[in-house]
Amino acid sequence: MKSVVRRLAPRGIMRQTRNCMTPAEEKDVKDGGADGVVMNLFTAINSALDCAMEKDPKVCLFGEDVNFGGVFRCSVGLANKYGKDRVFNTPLSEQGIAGFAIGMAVMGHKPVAEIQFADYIFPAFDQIVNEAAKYRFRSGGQFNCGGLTIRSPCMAVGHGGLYHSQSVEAYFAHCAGLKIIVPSTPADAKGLLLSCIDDPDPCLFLEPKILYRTAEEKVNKGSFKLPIGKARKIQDGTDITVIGWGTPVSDNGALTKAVKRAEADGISVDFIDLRTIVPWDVEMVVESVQKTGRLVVSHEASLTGGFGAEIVATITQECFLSLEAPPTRVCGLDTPFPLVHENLWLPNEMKSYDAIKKAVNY
Amino acid sequence: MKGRREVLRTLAFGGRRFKAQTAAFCGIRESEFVCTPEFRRDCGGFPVLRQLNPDGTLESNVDMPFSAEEALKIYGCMVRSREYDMVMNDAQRQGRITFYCTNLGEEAASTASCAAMQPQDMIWPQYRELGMYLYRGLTAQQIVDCCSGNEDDHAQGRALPVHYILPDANVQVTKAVLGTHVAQAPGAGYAYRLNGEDRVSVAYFGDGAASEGDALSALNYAAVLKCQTLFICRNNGYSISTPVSDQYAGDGIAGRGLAFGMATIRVDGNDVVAVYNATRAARLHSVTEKEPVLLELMTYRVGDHTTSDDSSVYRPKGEIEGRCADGEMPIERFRSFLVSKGLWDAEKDKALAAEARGEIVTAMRAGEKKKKPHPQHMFTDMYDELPWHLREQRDNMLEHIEKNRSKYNVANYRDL
Repeated sequence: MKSVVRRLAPRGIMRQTRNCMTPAEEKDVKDGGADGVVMNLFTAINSALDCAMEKDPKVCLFGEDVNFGGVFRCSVGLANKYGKDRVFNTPLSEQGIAGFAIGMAVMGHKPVAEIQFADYIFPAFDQIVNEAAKYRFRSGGQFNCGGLTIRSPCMAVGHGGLYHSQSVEAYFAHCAGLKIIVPSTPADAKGLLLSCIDDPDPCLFLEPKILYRTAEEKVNKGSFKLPIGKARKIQDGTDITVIGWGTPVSDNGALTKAVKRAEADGISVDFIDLRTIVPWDVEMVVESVQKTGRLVVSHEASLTGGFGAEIVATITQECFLSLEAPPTRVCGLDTPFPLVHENLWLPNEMKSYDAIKKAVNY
Repeated sequence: MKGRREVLRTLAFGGRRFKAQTAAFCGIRESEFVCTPEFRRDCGGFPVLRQLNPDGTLESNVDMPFSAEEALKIYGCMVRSREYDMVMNDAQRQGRITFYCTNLGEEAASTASCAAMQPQDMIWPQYRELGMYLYRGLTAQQIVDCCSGNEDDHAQGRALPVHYILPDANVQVTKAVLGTHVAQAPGAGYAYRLNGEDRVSVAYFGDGAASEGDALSALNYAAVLKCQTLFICRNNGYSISTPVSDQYAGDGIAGRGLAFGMATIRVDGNDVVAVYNATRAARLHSVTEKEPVLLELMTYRVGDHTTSDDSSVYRPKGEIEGRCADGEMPIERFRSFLVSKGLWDAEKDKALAAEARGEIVTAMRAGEKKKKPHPQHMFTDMYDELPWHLREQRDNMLEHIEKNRSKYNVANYRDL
């Protein structure tokens, strides 16, 4: 059985992602130098949408409450600048939003369709999975809706309960034909969203809502793109590979804090923000686990059937002889997302720290 | 009273008393206050446009809306639809293809409506619009190649039969999921309005698909967002075995257009002239007024739902014969008209039917000899560029086939 590992070059790693910047180059592009402005996640999204709409008249933005600025302020000012025809409210129907967006994309436009909360994306599931994902395939390449980007707030917010906290990437990761991206920083959000809007395949862009206001950094105010399918190495280490995406790997995220605790214990962590769920950066992860021999994956989504299972299965297969401990997952519980017990339900700092220690001491 | 003047009138009529004052609420049409509760159910009957009578004569206020050449083109597509249907249905019964879906009885609904459109109008079909496909250029060979899923199938054997792909004809792909395309057409219609194009998007759908959430949402979206979109519902009386009496309680599909604030018309779907005129007028309205139109074409599904269905189990005895009698059926009705105009005769009709049958039979014989598409086409057209995990799966699959050639009838596949 051929594997991606055996096709890697003997020295160094064959980069499968096009136009790949080095980490330093990426940092410069994101930061913007003199053109950098402090942004939080929602202003970074706003900036991305502004850049995209200024550059390309075929880009438009719509969804529930988008016109006045959006319930999370991601679209503030855009209707004034680009007009009601390009930044508009839709009736309250996620299946309608997704279907309408597909129709526009098929005609060569680049619709950015907002689903107000990822918890409410399910009426659009059919349109996304049966239509958008299969549009190119079932038409023998005659048609596609690659210009489509669906963006939606996701993940825990501290008080969201069952229907304002969900992580939905795993449902869609099972469906070939989509790209799924989850940023964890304002700069990544801007660069990745700009890439999604120009990407020739339909993209699902999931925005950790708690980061809208709490994540802040200097971001290039101009247009820049970051590669889809390429993970971000947060820090280099040698003892264990720790992977996550979204809120857990943000600057103040639970996994980030767990890694800091581990570092304080003298554990050297190779810490990766996956950023793209499909197609995920298997090269970076394999290279890392071949080096460290240990893996902990953490995501807010529930354990069973979560995307961590996919990573662990692939890494077990590809890095079996390198492993010093069983790869493990630290995830949300297999129950609906609770309100009062949120912190106990989530893969919090202490659960993740325990898992790292256990793997290192195996 | 100071301020607003109120005028109170007591009517002897039904003992109601109401204030003639406009109710000022958001989002409703102007109306009055009443002081007796009154529950409304409908807005009255919806008339059916009929211009070509079952006896083949036009209504006195109607002229033939197309040239003789166009009339014969439309008729030719309708006859081909019927003849191809009969042969392909038989082919399924003989085991030569796996599945087929006829269009019998609905030839006018799809052909005449399509004829009234412009070539640049983008059509989203459901699956019972063969006349439309033929009008736009689908050939017998393409039909057979698709239904056989052979190497010349544009879909590379990916989909069920009748899921035609017609390149460069502004027709989207037929697919099995119901109603989803109805929600997509408005997106295109919106784009046409933004771009100032002389173009409409069109979604065909049946009375059953009209119940899908996507279809209902689509009507609302198109009306609110002012999309240059035509919604053409073929109300043929059945959704597989479900008669319309089990599908909806309202006044067909047309009543929904009114609810969503859309220009709506109900048409005798078996009347070529009415369907043509209504569609042409609807298209003009949509492009000029930059808003959608709903057309409900009343027709009848003569055949089974598909070859997986036997409608004799649930259809009342004699119903088909009753519906097909007295010139109600589209081909017979239009033929009477053409003959009355001296444009057609029995001999030409016989020859056309034979020619059509010959085309599809010849195509079938050629199609059956072709190979299946190469298995690599399970992976092509997945993304703009194939990601690593699919490249890996593809390579593993091909390696597996290579190691087990004798188990997989590789000779059946092109270049395997």
